[in-house]
This record gives sequence, C-alpha cells and structure tokens, in this order.
Amino acid sequence: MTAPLLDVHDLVVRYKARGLFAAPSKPAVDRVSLSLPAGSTLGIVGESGSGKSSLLRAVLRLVPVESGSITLDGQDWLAIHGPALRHARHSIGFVAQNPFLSLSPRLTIAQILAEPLLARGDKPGAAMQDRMALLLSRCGLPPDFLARRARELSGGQAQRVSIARALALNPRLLVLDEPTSALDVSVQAQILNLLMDLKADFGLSMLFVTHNLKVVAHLADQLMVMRGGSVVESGATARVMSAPQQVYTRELMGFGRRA
Amino acid sequence: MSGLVRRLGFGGTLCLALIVTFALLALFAPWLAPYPDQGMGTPNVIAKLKPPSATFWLGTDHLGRDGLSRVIFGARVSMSAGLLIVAFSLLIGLPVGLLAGYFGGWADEALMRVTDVFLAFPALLLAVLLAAALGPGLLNSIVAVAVTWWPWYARMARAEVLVLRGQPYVEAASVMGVSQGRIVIRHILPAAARPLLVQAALDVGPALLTASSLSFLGLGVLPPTADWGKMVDEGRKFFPDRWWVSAAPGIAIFLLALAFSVLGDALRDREGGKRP
Repeated sequence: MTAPLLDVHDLVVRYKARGLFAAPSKPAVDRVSLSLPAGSTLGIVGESGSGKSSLLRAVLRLVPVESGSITLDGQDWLAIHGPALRHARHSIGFVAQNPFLSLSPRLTIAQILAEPLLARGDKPGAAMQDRMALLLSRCGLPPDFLARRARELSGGQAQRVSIARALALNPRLLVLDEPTSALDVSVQAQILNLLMDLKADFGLSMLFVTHNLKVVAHLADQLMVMRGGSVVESGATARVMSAPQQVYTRELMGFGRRA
Repeated sequence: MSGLVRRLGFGGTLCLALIVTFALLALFAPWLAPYPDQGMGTPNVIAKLKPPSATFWLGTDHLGRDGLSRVIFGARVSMSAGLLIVAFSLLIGLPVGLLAGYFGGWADEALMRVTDVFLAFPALLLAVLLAAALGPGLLNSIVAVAVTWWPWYARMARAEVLVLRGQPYVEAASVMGVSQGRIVIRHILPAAARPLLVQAALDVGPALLTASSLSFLGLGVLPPTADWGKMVDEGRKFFPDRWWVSAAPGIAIFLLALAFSVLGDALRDREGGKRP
C-alpha cells in the first residue's frame, strides 16, 4: 500500500486554561492517531465534546496543536506557515455544519464560488463562470443559481453550494464537519448520495465528522469512535457496525436510530 | 414614496424630507436666499435688529442682515460640519477598529490603549482645547471635533469584528486560503459597516451640535461667514428683547439635529430586525 494521504500521529490539542493560576485544562484531543489512505473515507464519530471537531479543526489548522504530528501528502503539515500555508490550504476542501452560516449572507453564489478560485490566482472572466457552473452542476444545481444569494436557497441547496465551493480547487482531501446535521432527514439522504457519487467519480478522500453513526456508515470505509478526546474504537466500517466492541459505540448506534 | 414611509416610518420620512430640504437650501443658498449678499455677510445698517416682517421673515441682526438669508447660508456650514466630522471619524475609527479586532494581540492592545487615552478626556473639553490650539476656522473646528469622535467608531468596529471573526463564513474563507486583507475587506467590512453607518447617521446631529458649540464659543468659522452657533452667540447680547436674532438659528440647529437623530433611530430599527 502507498503512503497515506493524511497521517495524524499522537495529536494533542489543548485549549488555554482561563486565569493565571488555573490548572492546565484537560486536552480536547488526547494523543489521537489516524491514517487516511488516498481515495478512502474515514468517519469520525462521537458525542458532542468528544474532541472530534477539535481534531478536525487541528487538521484544518484553525486551532494550535500542542504536540504530535500531521502529515498531509507526505509533507509535515504543521511546519507550513504564512503565505505557504495559505497556498497549501488549497489542497483541503471544507464543508461546515450549517450552510447558512458558512456562506456569506451578503454575497451571491457566484461571488461565493469565486472566492477560492480568486484565492488561487484565477482571473475573473468567462472561464471562471464556466468553472463555477460546472461545479454547481456536479453538485446537482442548475447554473442560474449563480445569481442567487444563500438565503434564497433551501438548506439542501445551500449545502450543495458549500460542497461545490469545497471542491472548487480540486482538493486532495475533503473535510466535512457534520454536513448533514442542520438538514432534515430526506435532504440528509440526498446530500449523502451526492457525496457518495462524488467519491466514486473523483476518488475523493474524505474526513467525515458526525455524531450520527448511521449517517456515516454508508459512506465511510473506516470508522473511528471518539470519546473524551481519545479514540475508543476504530476499524473497518463493516466490522465496527456489525460487532462493536465498546458499549459506547453501541450507544451511538442507538442514538443514530433514534434521531 | 409609500415604500419609503413603510421603511422609515412616518417620523423618519418627515425627518428625511427635512434633512433633504436643509441640504438643498445649503446647496442652492445663493439662489434661494432672499438677500444673498447679506447672507454672505454684507452689512445693511439701515435695518438693524428689525423684528420679523414681510420683508425680513426672520427679522434682522445687529448689522441689519436678513435672518432668513443668514440661516440659509448657515446651513452650509452646519451641514458640512456635521457630515464631515462623522466622515473623518469613520475614516480613522473604522480602520483602527478593524485592525485591532481582526489581528488581536499586541496590535489590539496598542490601538485600543491609544483609543482609551482619547476617550479619557471629556469630549467637548478636548475639542475646545484643540480648536483653540489650531485656531479658528471651519476645517480646524471639524478636525478638533473629529479627533474626539473617532474612538467611539473604533470601539464599535472592533466589537463588530470580534463577533464576525468567529462567524463560520469568515472561517470558511480563511480555510480556503483567502488572504487576510481580502477577508477583512470582502467578508468582514460589509457586515461590520452597516451598524456603524447607522450609528454615523445618528451621530450627525450631536456632531453638528458640538460644532455649533465651538462656534458659539468663538472657535468656529470666522465672521462674516454665517454659522448657526455663531449667530446664537451674537444674538445673546440682545436676548430676550430681540429674541429672533438667536431664536432663528437656534431653532434651525434644533430641527436639523432632531431630524438626524430621528432618522438614525428609524434606520436602526430597520437594521435591528435584519441582524442575523
């Protein structure tokens, strides 16, 4: 097997304790390791406060890492800073939980989709318009959506736009933070199907964070269950789903059924 | 027209109309004033301190100049003082607040401590001090007031940015590799500017009041230029026997300041419903 696309080793993320004499806080992510082969999908599951979002934010370089390493595509991801980091960010696409919060309310869809392209240095013009229309159509939206604003879209449509934006620069890795939690159940299924199609068509690698085991079970090749900042169980999706070894994992499966 | 009333309310629309009227009077003063030369300051001593009449609607002052013409010409100074004070203040305060709020850390500390120094002085006192140091003149008095005014906008802009910086769409932009300058200008500024512009509209009234106060104290425009604050001061010597000399410009100040405040309130109410 080739080297993994993303390799996280003994990662510790700790938020600063408030106050001068406060005891150091418990790490939000405590010595977590994971490895994501190119073209595969890893589902990270856990209740809120389990550290799954902190792990993801560390991979996105939104929070500082205390110790451990992250290797992306063979490069030391944590060693990149400044303008080089800005450029390197193009290899990761990010889809946030609530599309209405993650799409600027004041911009049109065209302006929103243009942002990553302009950040890469593309020049505005007909080629960019075509590129944006293609992105939308890949995500199942007609090109006339370009003229709309986020608040004129339904939740599912808006999430499709934010997936289109995440894919704009052909990222190696797609990071999704609870991409279906803000949507209702029928729309959740549509978005999951879209992600499944994209995965099949483009060989996307995905890091998929959710509290809902059922949501990710269809999509993920590997599962990782987190609780209190550490990994409690991980393995191939089929194995974890059919024979969960931890009570906690079983509880999460029950939660998925209820939701 | 009905759409405007629905948006701003009856009071707001009325005030907008009043402001537009004053603006037009100021703009076209030489054509609208009944005695343009007197408005610009030519004395007319044969008609000193005449009460309001058909010839002089608002009476005449101690140099016999028509009160109405003086008030119309005074609108130029007061209007531009109010607007320019707020504009200068925004021009300084907005960038300072944006930088402090977005970059945080020592930049925030340094900029905000400077801001605090300015806020520590009583505003009018500082303005009087500066105006006295800079010498009289319209631009000097505007600068003097703006120097005491901008810290409020800096603080407001900073507070807005602190909220907006954590917004998921701002985070999304930074994850996409958008440059920091572009994030501030493209994603934060438009959202931060709206409440600030409303505040600015609310502040034009108090700003022109402060500018008029400086004029009243003799630190504003130089005679013979007409200025409402100056005119109130001149009329003080003849008050209350010849009340019209002070009353006409005084009422003009009151109306214009009130109009800006009510319009600002109307805008704020409208904005309040739209904040996410």
